[in-house]
Amino acid sequence: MPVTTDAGPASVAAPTRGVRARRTVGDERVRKNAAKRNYPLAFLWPAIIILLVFYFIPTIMNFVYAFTDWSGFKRSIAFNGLANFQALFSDGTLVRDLRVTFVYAALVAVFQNVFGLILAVFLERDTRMNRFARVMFFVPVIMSALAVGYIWQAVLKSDGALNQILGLLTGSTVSTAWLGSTTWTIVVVAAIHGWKWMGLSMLIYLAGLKTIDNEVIEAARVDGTNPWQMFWQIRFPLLAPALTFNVATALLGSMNGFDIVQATTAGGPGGSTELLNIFIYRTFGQGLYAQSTTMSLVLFLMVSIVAFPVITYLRRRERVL
Amino acid sequence: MKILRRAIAVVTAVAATSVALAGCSNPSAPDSGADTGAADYWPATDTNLDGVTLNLWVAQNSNKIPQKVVEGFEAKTGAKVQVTTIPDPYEQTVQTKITTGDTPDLAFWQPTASMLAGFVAQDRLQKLDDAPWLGDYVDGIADAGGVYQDSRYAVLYSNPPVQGVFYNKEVFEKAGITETPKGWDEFVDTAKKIKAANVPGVESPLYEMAGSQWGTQWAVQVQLAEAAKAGLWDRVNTGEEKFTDPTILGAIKNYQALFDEGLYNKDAGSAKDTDQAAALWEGKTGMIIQVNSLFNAIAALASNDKAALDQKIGFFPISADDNIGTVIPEQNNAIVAFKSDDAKREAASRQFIHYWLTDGYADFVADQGVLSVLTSVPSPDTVPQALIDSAAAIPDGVGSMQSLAVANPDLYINLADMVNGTKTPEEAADSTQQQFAQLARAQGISGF
Repeated sequence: MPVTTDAGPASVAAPTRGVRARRTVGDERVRKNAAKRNYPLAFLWPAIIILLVFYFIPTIMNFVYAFTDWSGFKRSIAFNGLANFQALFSDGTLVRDLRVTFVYAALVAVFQNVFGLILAVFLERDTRMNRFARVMFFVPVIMSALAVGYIWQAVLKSDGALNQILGLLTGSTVSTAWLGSTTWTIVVVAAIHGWKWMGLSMLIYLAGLKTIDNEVIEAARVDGTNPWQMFWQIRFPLLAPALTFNVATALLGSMNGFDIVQATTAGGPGGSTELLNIFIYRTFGQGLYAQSTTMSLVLFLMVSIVAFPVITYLRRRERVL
Repeated sequence: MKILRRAIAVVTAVAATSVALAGCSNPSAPDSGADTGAADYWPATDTNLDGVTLNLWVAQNSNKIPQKVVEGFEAKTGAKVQVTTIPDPYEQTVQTKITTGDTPDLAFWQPTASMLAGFVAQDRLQKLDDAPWLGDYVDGIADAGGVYQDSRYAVLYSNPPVQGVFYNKEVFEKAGITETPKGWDEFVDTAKKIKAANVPGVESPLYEMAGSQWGTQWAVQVQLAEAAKAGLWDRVNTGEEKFTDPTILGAIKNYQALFDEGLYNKDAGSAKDTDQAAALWEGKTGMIIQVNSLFNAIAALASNDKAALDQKIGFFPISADDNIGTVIPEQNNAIVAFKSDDAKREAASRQFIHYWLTDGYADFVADQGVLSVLTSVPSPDTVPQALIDSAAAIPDGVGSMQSLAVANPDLYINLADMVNGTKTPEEAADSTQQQFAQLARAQGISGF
């Protein structure tokens, strides 16, 4: 049993003590320095301006335009109250697409995390082979989402590569329409989304695994845990911060998803994979700008309503650490 | 404190400018009533244009079309024509660009009421009336598209596609069919005959491609040709008649019935347009209801071999009771000219169109191997018979929903949903009607 358990906290605390000590010596001088250090405001301007022009103002305008009749058919824009909201909610498409979006987001969160966690566990040791494999699994993350979508679309079509491989293995013609089922295609597309982003989850889980204190592992081993208990009762709970981050980013990323689904199914078959963003895009293309703005406002609100409780719950989980 | 105050000032200034930029009005060119009959409205094709640069927007599937015309025009006038390919989906991307203030001088554009309405309402298009070549157009072309609210805004430079039936002649022969059908009922009977004949290699008498969605609308639209001649779309445009009323809903139900009877391919819901082209070319199916662009995909499979195509693929128009063609001009048939604040460029744009439809036309037709729309210019002899038959249906044809309705709802998506079983015919009609009403309301049309 190692005996240096308080070495870590001690080394972290040391500099803090040092600062405190200096402050008591020359309080005035330090405060002046701090003031200088706290006022690099000029450096912030470029970032603030970009944020303002490209993020805050469009977001605010998004709220404003949702209550207007802005369209590609008029020269003027006038407020029209809640007419857009009424029209949207009276049509079943919005509700259907919201449901599709939530199902898709949940599936992506599951796939991306399961794939990522499995990869991280298998590739944890720093061998040369593992390093190479990590890079390979990270490649889809940096690929264009549209390219990923088109590749998978070609692989999965009824005379595509997957069916040909299956046909070779089984010795008969396989012509499953992987992207043709109104029930299961959303699962397939979500899996593609999970596949594309699993490399990122893998990296974060890897980082999480690396931070687990070896002593905890050794202590558990001394207490006689088997590998199954070791993973689920010791290591997995300690990955909580990584899980929070991965689930949150997967949820947010997939609720705002567009590109992968557009490239693989374009919302089909039968609208069963039509994410809200695809509907927004379709409506905007029709020249109904105010309506599509209203939809993105609805999406913004829905993402907020769903994402924040989930993140809050996951954060609360971390508190036991 | 000083810094803070300055900071607040800057933030306010930036916010104010951005709000002003985002604006509360659609950016558009000033309104102007042009005299299209004036002697110099259509400049002579050889007017010197040194130093003038024109921007022409084209789509991915049409960016080779203007090549020869541009070369000839540049050589003749000294102008420069910059051809920019706008990525697909072309119409949406162009509309988005123009809405955000990026406007070309010329663009390929679908010359239909539904696609012109938005630009005309925003006063972005030049009027192209009183064109010098109008009398030279072959029968039917002048009326096939481009006119909206009694003014011409788009000029057709090639024959618009016709919705109709492309069929495999060999399959017809093997199934013992000697005459092409007249009217919808005979069309259905023909399909049943092919099915009953059990021709080896033929998997289904009809073939649909709802995986690519866009082709699903033709089977419904062709059934509306007679009604369209009798003013169906005028009534739909005023809200007097709806997609959910018996005429259109009936056509949708007839389409659904073909699936119920097992006349379509099993994977109709997910098959793509390319699959459809291959199926007809390879004789896996007997008939498809389609337009010229799908035929072009078949021609590509046949390496554009006219003899092989003529031997295998035929075309006939179909309608509820007759063989009336439903004409649907596309983006790669017509060109529009935009207003700008530069009168010289506006005139140069008109001059470019003038050149194309007169002095440059023979070169264009020869280069592209398409049928001529001018009586003074002969067509090349390389055009496949199916396309000649398609063009022959134009003079007696009638406009499609896109041509005659004020808005173009996503009928094809709703029908693709129906093919996949997630919508009933009633629901497909209802969704289409709701979207149509929404678009009509946005245009400020009364009755919605």
